[in-house]
Amino acid sequence: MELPASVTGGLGLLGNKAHFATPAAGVALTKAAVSVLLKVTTEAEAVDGEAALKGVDRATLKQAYAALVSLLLEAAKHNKTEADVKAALEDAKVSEDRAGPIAAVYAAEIVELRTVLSSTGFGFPHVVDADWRLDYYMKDNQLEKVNQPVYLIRLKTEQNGGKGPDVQFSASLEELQDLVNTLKDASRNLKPVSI
Amino acid sequence: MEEVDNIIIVSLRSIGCDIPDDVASIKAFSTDIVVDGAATALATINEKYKFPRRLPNEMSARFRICTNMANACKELGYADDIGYHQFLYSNESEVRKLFMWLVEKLPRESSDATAEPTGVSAVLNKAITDELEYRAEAPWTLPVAKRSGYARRVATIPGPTPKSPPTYVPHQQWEGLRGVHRLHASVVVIPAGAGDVTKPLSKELRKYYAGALPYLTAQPPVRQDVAPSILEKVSAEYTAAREWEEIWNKEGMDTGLSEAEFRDRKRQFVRSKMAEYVRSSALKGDGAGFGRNDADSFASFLDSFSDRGLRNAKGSRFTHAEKFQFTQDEGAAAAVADTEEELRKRREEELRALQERLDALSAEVDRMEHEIRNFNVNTSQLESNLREEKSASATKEALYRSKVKVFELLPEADKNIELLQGLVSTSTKRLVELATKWEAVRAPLVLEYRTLKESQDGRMTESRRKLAQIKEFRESMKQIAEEARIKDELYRQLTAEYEKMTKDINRSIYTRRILEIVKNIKKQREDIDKVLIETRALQKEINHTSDVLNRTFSATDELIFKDAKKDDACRRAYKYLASLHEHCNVLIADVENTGKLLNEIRDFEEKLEQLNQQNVLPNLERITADYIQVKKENQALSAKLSGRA
Repeated sequence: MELPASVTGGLGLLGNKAHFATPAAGVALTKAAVSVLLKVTTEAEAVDGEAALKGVDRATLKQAYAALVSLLLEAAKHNKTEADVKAALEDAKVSEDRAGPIAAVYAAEIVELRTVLSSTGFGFPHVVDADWRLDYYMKDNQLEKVNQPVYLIRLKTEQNGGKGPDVQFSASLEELQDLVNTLKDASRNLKPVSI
Repeated sequence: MEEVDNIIIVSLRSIGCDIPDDVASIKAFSTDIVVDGAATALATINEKYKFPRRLPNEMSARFRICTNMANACKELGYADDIGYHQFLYSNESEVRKLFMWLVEKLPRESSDATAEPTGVSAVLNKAITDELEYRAEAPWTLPVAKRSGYARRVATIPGPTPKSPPTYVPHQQWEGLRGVHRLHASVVVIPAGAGDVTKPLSKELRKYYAGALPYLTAQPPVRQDVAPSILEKVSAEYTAAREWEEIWNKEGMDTGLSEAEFRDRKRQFVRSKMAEYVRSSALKGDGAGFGRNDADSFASFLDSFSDRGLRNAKGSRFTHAEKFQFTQDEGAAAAVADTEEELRKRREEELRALQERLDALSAEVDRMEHEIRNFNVNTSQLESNLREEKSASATKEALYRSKVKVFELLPEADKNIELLQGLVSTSTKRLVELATKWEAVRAPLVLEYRTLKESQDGRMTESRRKLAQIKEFRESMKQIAEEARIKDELYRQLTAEYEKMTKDINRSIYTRRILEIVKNIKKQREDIDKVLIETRALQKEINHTSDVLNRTFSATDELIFKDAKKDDACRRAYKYLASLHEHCNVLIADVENTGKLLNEIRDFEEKLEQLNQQNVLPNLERITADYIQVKKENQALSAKLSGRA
């Protein structure tokens, strides 16, 4: 985990008794940062409304908050453990008794934080549903008697942020069976790999 | 036996038995410990065997539980006889045998732990198979049941021992794209230096931080951009710092400037280069300022600063805007011309007239310029002529003046020549004097100059040496840091491996014990072999002796028997011989008997010891006590029964 000087400097404020009198203030700030990142509350509620953070200089508070947010995101990005975060805090001159509880808050929320991070990205259209219809195809302009069953399949997809285009195709019974078998083969192949 | 006891106690403790710390061998096992251990071990082997770990007070209940436990052992395949008395009235050797068997039957989690793969790629493979296994078993979640594309589940991870409870880890699985958005980062500001004591923040900046600057997470205009923006900012800052450090190490150190000075100089260099370029392009330009081409070439000029060429091909947003604007303008103009034919004609006429006028004027201007150029050439020629004339007149004037003086001195030539000679000699003398004086002054100055120069040189080399040293130190610093990092990683990996391995704590005890047993067995076999050889040798000797005896006897017998018919004394001797032989036979038989009896005695002694070990007497006392208690309980029960009846 590589942090620039501005972040380590901001983290160092958390270990400074002149700025944050008690370890509880650091923990409260971390909890506030996590809840804002998880979109539970707003900064106004979480930071300004926190009793433990009353009386901290505003500029210092903002810097420490920014550094904490950066640390949490960066650590979640690299899937760091509680011990790693604690070590990073201690590198930034935060004493052990203060770094421990902050790292514990991180460890409790890492899954949620990683969820937030993984919501940025892109992917292929995702199949969410499939509709099918069986038609009996009797004749067309060229042939008087065809008389074949035809499946009409529609796959519903979703894309970044919402509904994607529907994919429609027709298939005879054999074709559909072939498709199904191919897909079954794919999912069956999971078994030998996973053992 | 102590080793066995140790292993049994360690194993029982590891499956969760409460064995007091002061119990060191099976000899010290009380009935409670025996029952507790057996019940826990049975429950660990198979979950269907669930027995209370504490015995109740009622004798009949105790009896029933112990009988059930004995039956369970039998079901699991315990070969020897087993009954309730093994648990209730235990003796050391039987308990040891039972527990050895139970410990052997315990599920082998430790063997799984040792099979745990180590190494990076093996761990990765294990993680992949684990995840696939988990996913293969996990149920599918309906799209409507997911919150913004996330299936939330709880993964169950079994505890380190079968007894300890499993841990539940929330597991989120990315399914679908409903909640996913593309990466977009906006500019954010991370405040810095608010708590710095050595370099206090400027008042204005502090005020800005405290008042107007929003919290870092509130800075991006869209909420979903928060995380990418901050991560971008952090990595950008980190990369810039790294880049600067590299430049400073490569170029800055040699200049001998301080870091701030070097930074200033670099900035000035860049600025001056840019200003120069802007000026030159403004001069070169056709008055339209920065046109499209200029912007492009400016981009290429910027490229010349960095050899990475990040800006090539793409062009900046500015240039795109520029392009867009220009093309639009042209299109608009054409549209107007197409619609208004007349206007166009008139304009064309006007344009032609103007063009003609312009041509005429420009021809005039050209002519004028030509004339001006001609005049300029003439003027410069004339000026140079004038200069030549002036210098010629000056030399002539000087010549004239000296000649006038010579003519003035001519009437008294001799006297004047002498005077002149005297003047010359005095002036030469003075010159020599001055030269000596100057030498006197010059010598120390030169010396001083030399010493100063030398010291300057020395300082330069010194500083260069020091710079080289600093560079070396930095190099080594970096190397050491790198090494430390690698070692740290290795340490972490090893600790992780170690943690995985600590599960089989008694492994070493087992191996040590096995090795010892093997050694003992070897020794014993050697001993046995020795004894066997000795026995065989003895047997041989005995056989040999008895053969010799037989032969001697028969020979003597024959000899004496022959003479016995003739001689009376011989006959008596023969009788004595026969009786001697008989008695000796009896004696041998007696010796053999004695040996057998001794063996028997030893057997009996062993048996006695075994019986003594089984502490029959105290057990008997306990049994009688229990018997009395059972009787009492029975009486109480019958009294209750009769009372109810």
